[in-house]
Amino acid sequence: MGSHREQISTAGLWSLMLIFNVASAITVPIGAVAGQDVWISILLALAAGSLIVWTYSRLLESHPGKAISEIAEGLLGNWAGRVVGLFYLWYSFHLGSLVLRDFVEFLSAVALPRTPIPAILFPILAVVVWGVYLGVEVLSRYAQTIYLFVIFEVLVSSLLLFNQFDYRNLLPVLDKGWSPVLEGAIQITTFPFGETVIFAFIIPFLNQTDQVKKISLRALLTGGALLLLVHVRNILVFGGLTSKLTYPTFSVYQYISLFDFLDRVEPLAIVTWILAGYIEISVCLFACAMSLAHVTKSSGYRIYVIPLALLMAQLSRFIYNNHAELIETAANAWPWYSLPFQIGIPLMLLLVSVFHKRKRTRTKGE
Amino acid sequence: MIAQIVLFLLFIALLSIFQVRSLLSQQKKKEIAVYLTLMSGAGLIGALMLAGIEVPSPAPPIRAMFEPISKMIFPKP
Amino acid sequence: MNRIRRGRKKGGAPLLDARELRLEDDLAQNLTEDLVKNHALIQDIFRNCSDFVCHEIVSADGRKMLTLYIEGLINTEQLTQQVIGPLQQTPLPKHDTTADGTITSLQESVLPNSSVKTVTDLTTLTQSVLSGHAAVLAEGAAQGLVVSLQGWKPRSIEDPQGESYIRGPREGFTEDIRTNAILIRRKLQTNRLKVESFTIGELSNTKVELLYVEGIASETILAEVRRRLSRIQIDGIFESGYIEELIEDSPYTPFPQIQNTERPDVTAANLLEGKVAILVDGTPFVLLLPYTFWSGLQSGEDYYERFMISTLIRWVRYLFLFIALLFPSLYVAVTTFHQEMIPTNLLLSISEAREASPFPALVEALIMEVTFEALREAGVRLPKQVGSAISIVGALVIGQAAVQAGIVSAPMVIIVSLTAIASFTIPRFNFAVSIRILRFPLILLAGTLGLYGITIGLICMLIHLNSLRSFGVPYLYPVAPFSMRDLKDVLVRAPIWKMTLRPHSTAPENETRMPSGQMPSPDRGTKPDRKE
Repeated sequence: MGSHREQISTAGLWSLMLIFNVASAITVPIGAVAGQDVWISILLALAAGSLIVWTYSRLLESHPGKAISEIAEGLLGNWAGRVVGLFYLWYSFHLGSLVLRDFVEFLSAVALPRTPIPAILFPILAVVVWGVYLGVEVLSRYAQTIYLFVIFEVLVSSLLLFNQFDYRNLLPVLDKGWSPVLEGAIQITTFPFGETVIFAFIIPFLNQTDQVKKISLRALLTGGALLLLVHVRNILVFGGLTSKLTYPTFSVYQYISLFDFLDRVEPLAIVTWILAGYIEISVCLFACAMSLAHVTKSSGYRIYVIPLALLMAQLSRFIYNNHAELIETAANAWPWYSLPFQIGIPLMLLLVSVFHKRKRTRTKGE
Repeated sequence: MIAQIVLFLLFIALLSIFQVRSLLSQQKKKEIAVYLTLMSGAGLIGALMLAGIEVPSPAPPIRAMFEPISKMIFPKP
Repeated sequence: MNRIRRGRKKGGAPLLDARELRLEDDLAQNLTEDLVKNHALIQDIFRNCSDFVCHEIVSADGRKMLTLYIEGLINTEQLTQQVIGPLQQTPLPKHDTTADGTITSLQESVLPNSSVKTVTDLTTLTQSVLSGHAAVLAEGAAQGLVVSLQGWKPRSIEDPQGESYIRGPREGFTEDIRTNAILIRRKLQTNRLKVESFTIGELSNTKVELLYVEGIASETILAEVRRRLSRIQIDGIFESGYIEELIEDSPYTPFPQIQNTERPDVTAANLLEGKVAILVDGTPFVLLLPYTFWSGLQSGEDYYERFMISTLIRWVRYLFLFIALLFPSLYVAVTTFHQEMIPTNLLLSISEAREASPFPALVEALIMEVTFEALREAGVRLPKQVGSAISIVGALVIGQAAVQAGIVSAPMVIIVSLTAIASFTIPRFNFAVSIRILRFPLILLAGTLGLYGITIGLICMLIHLNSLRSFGVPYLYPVAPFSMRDLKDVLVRAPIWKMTLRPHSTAPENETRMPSGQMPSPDRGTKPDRKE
């Protein structure tokens, strides 16, 4: 019925955030440095992640219908708004190209070893562009159609691996002290939990503005629970080997075998990766185009989708020379690099916003 | 290689013409400027990549800046 | 003949040539008191219509009169008994022989039939004559009478061919819109069943009726349907498919956005869910809207069988939907790209069977799928007696001989036949066709990118499905956007006594279908009801 304002429901936002949280994190190793203690890292990261999520969702909830750059503009003026917009433009762009790189890398490694990279890159790019073009409402509904599949896939595969579990793999606990566990926790906090900060460009579309905190925290906890299950499962099967595998989840699927009949279920892992990774890339591209539209004060984001997607694909190719570099950067530089975006800017804006409100109430004398 | 570059640039040009036409009819000058900047960036980088010339990556400076923090907080033997 | 271009009216009314212009001028006139002039005008309007009958009679008091009708369209016996007879035998009361009084008294005392109406202009008169009325014009009266005497026989009510059920009413719609509306009215005997009538098609003047249950159907959907129906401008409507294509939300999609049915019981049940029905004269196919993806996988019979059985059958349909859509492409992907994913024993037998085949799996799959589509199409178009010959040819030549000759591999034949069977389990024909069409791009994607290609294709489909709406209702509702309550009729077929609410998407204002707590048990009514 023509042009109605785009809206997403609470369930839509929840599933979008859930999938965004778990999409690549269920397949690639997270917090590998913590070894068999990764479950402690995930739990700690959940607590830290909740803080990040609470900060930005509190900020967005107090300014309903506004994206983070618009909030900055309202609080600190035109230029501050643009600077914040530019920060997130870069962050979502960078994040998007990393996810895209990971996406293509995985497919190239496990499913299509002899297919040239562009042949893998362009189909997904085309679909992402189409989805982002159709809008966030369609993306959120897409997430709603697939999230049950993702959850079921994780649960069922874990059940089927039950006979492979060795509980001694979880021991010894904290044998190297707290340092690696904390490092793992920091890594997991910033990837994947903190990355949801780019939902600051999607949450304004939520139709119930007072539910932001509740929904984003719920999505974080569900996602965290799934990740905990997946990574503990991988440790239970592989033990110390897990942190040395490139794609532990994919490898673990090769171990599924039921009565010599149900085996070779790795394609499920590939399909999940594609279905969920699609959301992750699309959300990044959407946030990127939205922030660009805010920065340039354009009338719509759609026109920037194609050029940004092309640039994102190009950056994803030349940003790292090889997979080792990717892993190295993701482990050591990424957490510290992304903390300002994930907590720094939102926290600062939140403080300014609270301060403003206090000042206003004092001057008005209410 | 040259054929590839030409084809890629042609593709970019076609996309731009197609999209700019719709923008022109709506009198959106600023959007056209931003769009064309991005598209020519994409064209340039794509051509360089196809030509095999290394494009400077933003990753090394980021690593140089942030890895020391990691090393400082969690020193490794 | 010279074409005089009148230019397009707003909305693109058809151009009229000189003759049509003259006719339009004739039609624009009113009846006069001069019978000769009226006669001439009408003769001009119905010039060269050999089925048009206009004969003069003399009434009981010596007044000249004309009766006009289309031969065969009205019941001539009734015309003689109910119109000509009384006119010739009953004289008018003396005081009523004034010009205007004539028609009134004719209507009141000579033709006391409820379906008699007066007309004053030629447009209405012509229209009535064309739709099965007889018209009576009297000398000295600037009015005429039309009597409804529709005399042609519609096809009798039969078991609907396209949607036959094992259990369920054996009546289907016919080509006659009155019969169809009455079939529904007999199922819903309430004044809240409203029938709004439209005439669409400038030359066909097809009757179109909008049926809904007042208080249940959503007013916003109704307003939208009325708006879309009234904006149609076309020369003729011959099937509800015309209407469907002219009012649907997104034309560029393989998926149907409006349901059609031949069954009054299905229509009535949908009306009670708050949907809207559009009846078109001349076709047994009634349109139902809004439509969702899941309606394509539901059959009316689901509600007549025991709920467990229906639930199971629905699951089978969902499974076979996947098979119909994905099986050939999965086979192509796995044999071309991911041989390592097949269990070893199976891989051995497949590769053994494929050894002789000269084509790559992709080409083989495309050939076989196209052949199957051709066989199906041939079987549908041909008369029944020849149709069976086609299936024999198909089964023997394509299946047996081609495999023995080593042109196609046996697994491919199995795959294609299974896919064919699977696509026939989808209860709605138009929905099944769209699924079958989508199989081809998926096979191509599978042949070029393997499993990745298939998944990309699936994402495209999901994104597209999620962007569709049917009259404001999202196409994948109640899955996305999610509604636990309405999922009861999608994921399973909940027992009748559990489905106490109408779907929120179509009946937002009046949701209660029945009070809860009607689960039957021997004790029911003697003990207090359990809380649901």
